[in-house]
Amino acid sequence: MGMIDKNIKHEVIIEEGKTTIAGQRAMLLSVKTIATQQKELERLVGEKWGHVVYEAERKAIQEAALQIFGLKQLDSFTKGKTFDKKSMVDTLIGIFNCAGYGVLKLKKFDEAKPYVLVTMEKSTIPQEYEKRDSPVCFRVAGILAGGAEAVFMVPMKCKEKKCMSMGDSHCEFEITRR
Amino acid sequence: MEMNSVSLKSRVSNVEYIKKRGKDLFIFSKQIVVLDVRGLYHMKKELEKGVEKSDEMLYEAGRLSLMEIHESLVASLGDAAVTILSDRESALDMLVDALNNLGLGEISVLEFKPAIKFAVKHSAGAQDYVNRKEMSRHPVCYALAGMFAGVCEKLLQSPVICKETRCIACGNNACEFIMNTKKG
Repeated sequence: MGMIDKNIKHEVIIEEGKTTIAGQRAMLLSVKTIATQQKELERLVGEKWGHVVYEAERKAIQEAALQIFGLKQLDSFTKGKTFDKKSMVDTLIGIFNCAGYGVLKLKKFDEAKPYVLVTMEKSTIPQEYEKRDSPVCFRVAGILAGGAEAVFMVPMKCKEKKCMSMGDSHCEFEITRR
Repeated sequence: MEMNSVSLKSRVSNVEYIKKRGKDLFIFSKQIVVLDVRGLYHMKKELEKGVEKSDEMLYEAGRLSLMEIHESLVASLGDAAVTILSDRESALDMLVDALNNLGLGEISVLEFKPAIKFAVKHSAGAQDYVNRKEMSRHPVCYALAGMFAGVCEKLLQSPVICKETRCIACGNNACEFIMNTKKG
């Protein structure tokens, strides 16, 4: 079984104007800026805004996660190399928890289905919203779906079941096969 | 918990822009989130699927975000803000310095007069076009243009329009932006 690189640096590194997280080029924006961008998008396109943000992040993070694990092609797993998927999930959660969106915790993990349930406490983006009746963490859901696709190597989807913007005490995401 | 610097110091004023508290990062006390820059490319592609005026939205979001950064900068400078920011060229250097810590690209001021011009190497909004060997017919750094407009509006105290005149997504070596006064 292939080993996950234990030396993957989770934290954000800023050196000479270049920003990276886990070796991937990143940019830093304030929570309020992200919320402002989302609200502008919602004003422009209505309910569709969530899908736009979700898909952009899903695609971006699928590519990033593959690179983090040194997998350049989606079919890497079919070439006789398998990885400890739980370890991959733990690695991605560790990286995510340095990114400022909140504190992600793994609640359920079923490699066979595949199925993952995570909670996010101290979610930052919902704090920029008034209470509403629909979730706002489409960006995080897209990140989780993209990460899960790199881990399980099949199309995955993520749905936010609870959101602090709706008055819940924490956010909760369910990740299943698409 | 005490805030620790991430060892970033401005060449202009020794302001430490980015600070760390536990795992969280802050700029001028505002919490930051980290985004993979590929997200900008994919966001643009998603918007191109049928969202009208999405370029304007990205521009406006960039402009508003800079307003927020500027307000936070003023608050962090306290009583010294009026003195420090009264020298427009120094103030511009300081804001550019702050932006250079956000991973948006390597930003520099090309000209201050007669019009403010910026250059950006490795623009976060366009780098993925280069990486994917994809050529755009038009400049694509709308959010960055909006941010520069926000910088100059605060600096000049009047509305401006920022236009991207060169872009690495179009095959240029660097992205360039020019500021024009907004009429009417």
